[in-house]
Amino acid sequence: MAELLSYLFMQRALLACLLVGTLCSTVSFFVVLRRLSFLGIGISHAALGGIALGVVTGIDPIITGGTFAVATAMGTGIISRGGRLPEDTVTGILYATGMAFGIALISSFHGYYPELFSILFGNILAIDSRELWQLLAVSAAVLLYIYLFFKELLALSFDEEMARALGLPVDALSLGLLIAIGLTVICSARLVGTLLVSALLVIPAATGHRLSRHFRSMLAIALLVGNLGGIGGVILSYYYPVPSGAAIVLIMAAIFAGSLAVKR
Amino acid sequence: MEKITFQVAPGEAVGIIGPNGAGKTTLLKAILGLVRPRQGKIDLMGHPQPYPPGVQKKIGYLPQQPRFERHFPFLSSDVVATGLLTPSSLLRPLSSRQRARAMEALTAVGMGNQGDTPFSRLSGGEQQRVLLARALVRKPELLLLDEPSSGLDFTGRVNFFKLLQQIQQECRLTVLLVSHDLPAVARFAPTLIAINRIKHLHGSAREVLQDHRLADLYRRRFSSPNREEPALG
Repeated sequence: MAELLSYLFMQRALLACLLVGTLCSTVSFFVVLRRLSFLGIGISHAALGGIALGVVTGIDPIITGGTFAVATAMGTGIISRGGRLPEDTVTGILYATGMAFGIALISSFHGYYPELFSILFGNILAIDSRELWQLLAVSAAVLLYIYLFFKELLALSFDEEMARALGLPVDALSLGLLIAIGLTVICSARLVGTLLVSALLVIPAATGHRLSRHFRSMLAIALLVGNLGGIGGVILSYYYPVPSGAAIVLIMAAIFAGSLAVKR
Repeated sequence: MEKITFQVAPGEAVGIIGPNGAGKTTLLKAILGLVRPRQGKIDLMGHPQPYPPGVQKKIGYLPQQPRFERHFPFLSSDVVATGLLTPSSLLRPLSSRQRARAMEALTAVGMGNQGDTPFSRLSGGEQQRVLLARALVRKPELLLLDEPSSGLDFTGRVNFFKLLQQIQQECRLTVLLVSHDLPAVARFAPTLIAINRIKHLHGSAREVLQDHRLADLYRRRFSSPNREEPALG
């Protein structure tokens, strides 16, 4: 273990794991309570369009992918409210459109794009200090938003109509949460890849929900699962030839499976 | 909805009845400010819409069959505490005084010993009492209730209306109650308003229930709201 911690890339990877674990677990708390799991999957897949755009134009794919992720999240909120369509229907449309755009772009520009695979499948061990700072800044912004409006977000997750009747700015708060999910997806892509990131937005809080009856303990368990899975996955991928993203998701899934055996 | 005009005096309990689709819930939502009327106006405590924050705080609301997740990880006291949130409470944590008020509201509905019980573990009747406590926690002067007894069995309905009557009389609350449960509404509210989009009956519970036009109002549930018909009340 001491040897593992002596490498700078491992120190960065473990730090990134703690950040992403905390960020995803906290956001997953609201994803599960507001039943937005499909939105998480949709955003992560729609971001492929932005990532492809970044890869072929030479702009940082995290920035273009992040823009697509946030646009998908905001678009889902705005179109579903304005067009009176269920959120999952709008997510389904934007998700396929974003992916189709990405596939079309990559196919049109023949070339070898290693960074594309690194974002699609994740490679936490390759994270550099600039990406770590990006992650820190986004994590701080998202966690601050959730901290400041925690009780209001909780109230509207429980009963949206009542939250409106109380005069709370429900639409603005919901949109803020959707943007937070979009940013979280793209920041976590480095860790597990866009294809697996939705697992981080669901499994930690789903496990917490299974094992607790109060939101505080649910959040605490989600944080524990998210961080344990993240760090465990990185350590596993150091010793065994398993990609870190897949290892993280598999550890979290194993913890969730174990939670199913616990009687509530 | 058209041609619906009525006044409610402070401390009065009024039942709003009518067939499905008559606009009862819309009427409550319009009073709350959740639905904006295209024409006409609604004054509350002498103030037109949009109400000033001081007036908004004096309204308690129990929505129709809230669609919350069955296993939402809230204790009963957490549910009640959400009733204390206002736009001015954004960025401020709930104070211990507010938490104490949530417990007082639970005690007022006979659930004082269930504050730490997970909301999901309560029976339907108990959950409805907790939601009533949430509507009462701001010490409102006007209480709007939308089908509060739906989903409750006979005993649950009787107990709920008994409790509501007791609270209404003790606190001199003005209550507007929407319900399909005609016998229960008539027992609770001395005044009834029957609506069906463009027409209404307004009077004492006995008068309205014995009015032969009530049956007509329920029969014509699918009549077009745009058709000119003479108002009943």
